[in-house]
Amino acid sequence: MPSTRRGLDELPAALPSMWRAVKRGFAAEPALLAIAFALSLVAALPDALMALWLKFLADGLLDGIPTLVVIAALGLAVSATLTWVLRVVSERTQRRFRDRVTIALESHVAELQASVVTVEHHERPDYLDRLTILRDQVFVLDHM
Amino acid sequence: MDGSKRLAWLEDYAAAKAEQADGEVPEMIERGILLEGVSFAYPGTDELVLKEIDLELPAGAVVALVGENGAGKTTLVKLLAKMYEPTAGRILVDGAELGRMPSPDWRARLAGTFQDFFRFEFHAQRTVGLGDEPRVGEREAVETAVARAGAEDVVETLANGLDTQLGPTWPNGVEVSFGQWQKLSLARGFMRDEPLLLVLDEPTAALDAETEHALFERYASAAKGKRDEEGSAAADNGRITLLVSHRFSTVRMADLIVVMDGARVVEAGSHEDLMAAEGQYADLYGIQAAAYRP
Repeated sequence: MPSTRRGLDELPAALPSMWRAVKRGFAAEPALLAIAFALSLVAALPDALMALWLKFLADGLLDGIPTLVVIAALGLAVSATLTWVLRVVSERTQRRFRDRVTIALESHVAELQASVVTVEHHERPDYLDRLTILRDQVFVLDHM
Repeated sequence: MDGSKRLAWLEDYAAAKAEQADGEVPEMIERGILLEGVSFAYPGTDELVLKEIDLELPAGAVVALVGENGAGKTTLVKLLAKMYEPTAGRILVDGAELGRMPSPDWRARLAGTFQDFFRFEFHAQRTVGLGDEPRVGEREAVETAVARAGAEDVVETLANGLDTQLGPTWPNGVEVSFGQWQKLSLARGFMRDEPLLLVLDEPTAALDAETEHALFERYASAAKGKRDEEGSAAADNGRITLLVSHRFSTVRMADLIVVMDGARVVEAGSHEDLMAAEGQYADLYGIQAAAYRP
């Protein structure tokens, strides 16, 4: 089976492999992945609102509207607080997600290796190189 | 990105290697293990390390596999243990294809030890008991295995016997010499009570020929004794004992001696038959036996 053999020897293409890693991460921790993703989006909102508050502040001062100045000040305060809170929550969620995905991926790799009934992947130098790097660097996959 | 490619490759590899076994491992061997035209090249290479091997390992026999280093002895054992599939030909156990038997089930019926062993730094009980994982905690089974390997002297030197932690880097762990590790590894290989195939693949290659001869003599006698003993495990299940060595002078007690050279079987028969044939075995046996003679 030379074609199968060649197929097994080659590494798959990058993009489909990355997509598979993302799917694997989602399968391991769907809720945490969704929350981490949503938090990273929401965390950008207070920063974006800063521009609006600054516009209100400039308009309020130039047009002499105290209410607008107060609204801008409050908005800036809330944005600054939310920026800090959301960053902390987002970082902690992502850290937890990465830890759990790393454990899931390490278990997955160990199970895959153990599931192969022959010992070719334990003895063939090019396969051993591949697997050693995968085992040592499996944690980087959580960056997907 | 590179990590995800490697992971995807491993997933594909494991899926491609998934076993489609529809056979069953027999409870006992009635006739023997037959190798029919077995050739083998390690994956990724073109060189055949086994060429058209036709060989029968009779049920209940003590078989010795001898040959120079690189003759293909260990590779043949790997095929028998289903660690690799033959590139060509087939292996039959009582007429049923080994390739169709589930590997975990077949390996559960194998016992023995190889030249390389791992130093499991656990309590001695666990270090030995891992040879039959479901019975790792059974003291009696471990003691029996220790006795089979002749490792009682090792256990006796340990402060708390089988409850001693091995390895000096652990709390209360003790240093164990190479020879002691080797005997404990032998004991681990003897944990299973009723293997169909018992393999001793140069377990004493690092030691002298006299020690190896004594060890092989001991297991061959035990196997033959049990075979002649009606109702014994060996008599019941047709266990085949396979002794592997690069030394021609240590296996004369075997029922069948198989001489390998250049990836082929060049001679097979009893010690007397092969000596009478005056072939490679007779030549090398004479040279090696003379060298070990005081």
